[in-house]
Amino acid sequence: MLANDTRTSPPATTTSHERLTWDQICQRYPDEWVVVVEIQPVDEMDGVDDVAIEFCTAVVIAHHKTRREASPDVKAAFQRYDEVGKFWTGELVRSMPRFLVP
Amino acid sequence: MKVTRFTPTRDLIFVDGHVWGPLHRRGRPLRLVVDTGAAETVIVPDALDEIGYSPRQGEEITVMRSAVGREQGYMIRVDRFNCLGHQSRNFRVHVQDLPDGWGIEGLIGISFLRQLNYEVRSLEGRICIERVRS
Repeated sequence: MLANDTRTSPPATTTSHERLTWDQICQRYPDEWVVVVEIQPVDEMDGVDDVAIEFCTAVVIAHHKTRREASPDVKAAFQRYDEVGKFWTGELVRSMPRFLVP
Repeated sequence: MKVTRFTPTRDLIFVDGHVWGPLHRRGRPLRLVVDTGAAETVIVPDALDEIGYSPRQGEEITVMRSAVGREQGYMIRVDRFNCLGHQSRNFRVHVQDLPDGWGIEGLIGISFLRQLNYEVRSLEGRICIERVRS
């Protein structure tokens, strides 16, 4: 669903194309896959080359319950934005099961 | 020496990488787990589909066996893959679905890490990386 779809988003807190920190995104769209654009580091990080989304601000353009549901919005966003990402706002995996690839 | 930052209080090391595809000139960001116990670097299929790859470009069908069963995937070469401050071109990745609830879109395995010397500073939440060959 689109981030500015007021039928399902809390109208008091959701602003279309508002730049948010990662913590704000997680609070506003809990346990969802968010499609984000215009990802920028929060501040200059001395000597750090790669910055994870947790240390960035971004603009949420869509949010979905499943990763695959978010894919069409990612594809559509690539028509308008140079950088588009899709991130889960809930708890992340806590251990890696071991797999075997024969 | 390059430095990548991660959240040290988490149970795994989560970092962001980028993958490039035929449709886009900028990389698509991915949240990944650094997994020194994995041989291959894994990316979920929908992330590659979004930037223009398809299973038809795959080099080899794979079957992953786990405690819950067998899942089919494939190996594919991506134009560019970047993580931990370093980039590989024509990089071979394992395309494999991962559970939605894991919140990640792939794993950094030894296939990428073997190109680097790296030092994980767990308390500081930093990985210091030196590339030794491409």
